[in-house]
Amino acid sequence: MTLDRLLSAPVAFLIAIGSFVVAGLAAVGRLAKFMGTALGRLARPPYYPARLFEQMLVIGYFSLPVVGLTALFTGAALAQQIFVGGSRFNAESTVPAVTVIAIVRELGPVLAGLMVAGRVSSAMAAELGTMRVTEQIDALTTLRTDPFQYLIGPRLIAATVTLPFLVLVANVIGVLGGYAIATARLGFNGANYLAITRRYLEWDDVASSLVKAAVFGFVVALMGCYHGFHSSGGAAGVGKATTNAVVSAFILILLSNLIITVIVFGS
Amino acid sequence: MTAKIELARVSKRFGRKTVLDGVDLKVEPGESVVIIGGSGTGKSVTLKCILGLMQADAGTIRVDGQDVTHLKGRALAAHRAKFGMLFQGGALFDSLPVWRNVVFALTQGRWATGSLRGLAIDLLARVGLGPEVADLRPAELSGGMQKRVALARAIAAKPEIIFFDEPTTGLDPIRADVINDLIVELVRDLGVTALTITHDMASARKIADRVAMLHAGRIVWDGPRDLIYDSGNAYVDQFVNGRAHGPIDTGVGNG
Ligand SMILES: Nc1ncnc2c1ncn2[C@@H]1O[C@H](COP(=O)(O)OP(=O)(O)OP(=O)(O)O)[C@@H](O)[C@H]1O
Ligand SMILES: [Mg+2]
Repeated sequence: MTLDRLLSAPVAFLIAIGSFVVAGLAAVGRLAKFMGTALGRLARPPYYPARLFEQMLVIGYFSLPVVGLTALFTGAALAQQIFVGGSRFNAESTVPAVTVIAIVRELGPVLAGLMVAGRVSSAMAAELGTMRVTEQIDALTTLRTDPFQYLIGPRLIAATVTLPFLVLVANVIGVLGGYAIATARLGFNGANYLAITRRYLEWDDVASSLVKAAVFGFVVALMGCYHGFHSSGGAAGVGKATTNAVVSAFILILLSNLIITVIVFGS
Repeated sequence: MTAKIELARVSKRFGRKTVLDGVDLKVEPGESVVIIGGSGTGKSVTLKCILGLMQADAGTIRVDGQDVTHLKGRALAAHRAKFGMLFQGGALFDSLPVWRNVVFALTQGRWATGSLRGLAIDLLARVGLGPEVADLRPAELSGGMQKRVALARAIAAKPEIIFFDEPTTGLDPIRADVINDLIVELVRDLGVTALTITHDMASARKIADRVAMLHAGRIVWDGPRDLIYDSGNAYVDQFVNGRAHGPIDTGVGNG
């Protein structure tokens, strides 16, 4: 009896690991299939320009305040820290150059991506999830409107094209945040600060920033739509879908950021 | 004559739970059939299988003689074009105003012009709703009003076959009778084939040509409307008379 249990414990453990791995693979497969279907139907008519415009407004315009404020505060705090750190080896003058590089390459896109994920992935998951559990998606299908084309396509396109604009704004405001604190408190000359900023900013930095933004936008919409579309089990199920959408969007944004950074700047 | 809808030994499971276990049902063109049966016996699931919103695990479903059990893509879309469906919960699109909901089968989400708004108002009038609701959002309506808007949406494209999932639930008796009359009119005057789920026996008596009872995954009785109180079937007897005790296990200490 005891021996039996001793022997069966590792087996049960292996089975648990196995089923965990299988479930994980199945989830990845489901996501890949979902993405394939969504992309495959993007190009095909009918198109819904009104839906696209509406989503661009919701994602882009209404995210401006939160993204702008995040960039402003972070840019200012960053400049202050670089100043303090730099002063240990008489490198205070690096503040404008390091700030602009850090903002444009990393913090602008990542912070904008995360803020938009918090706002938009959750909203998409909640809306599509509610539509799923109240049978609105079934109704849409019965009325011969493809939910991939009507609901998901406009969201994916809107997020992917809108986030680069948001990130541009975040980059500019982040640099201005650093400029503000540097000229107000750290004794920098304004014209000088901006001149150094311009000199150290390269096109590659801006390009990588925008590529990241587009990828993050796609991730945000994909996670929101995927979790919402597959939600089940009433209000609790929609709540779970919303949480999963935000958490998975956060993780995928940070992971894809690392991958792009290594590819672009690693060599 | 080929049946409009024909289900043969249709089964549907969810995990380990068998909901439909060999359903046989025939609906002739222009006929109005009512399905009755206890809560959770799979009436709504039956309709969703016919519409291809769910896949039957076994059996065949034919519409106009064509096997539609495993249709995909364009063929499935063409199949669905024959149907109007009133969902049990209404399933109105809450991001759109009422009138855009009503004509959705015609616009399919594309931008609609003013003439369709007029059509929507006509359709709303047929289900007893005034033009003042046209610009409201579904969330601003009562449950019964939502049901009627959903009904207007289901009939908007003049489908050949209409499924009504509990059309009169949540309506007062007068409004319910307006809906009964509408269904009778659709079937009699426009030749629509109707399949209705209801728990409302007054409504069933008024709209049905034939009644089928679903119990334990099968159609246990199927006969003309005039026989439902005289069916000789213990399940039907218990159901239509609304008795807690009988062969149907209600889970409250059967005798
Ligand atoms: N998507 C689903 N996933 C899992 N189980 C489901 C699903 N849809 C329905 N079921 C189960 O199938 C059974 C039948 O559901 P259905 O909605 O068809 O009942 P019904 O006969 O319409 O009942 P009611 O009269 O209360 O509407 C229920 O027990 C339900 O739990
Ligand atoms: Mg039902």
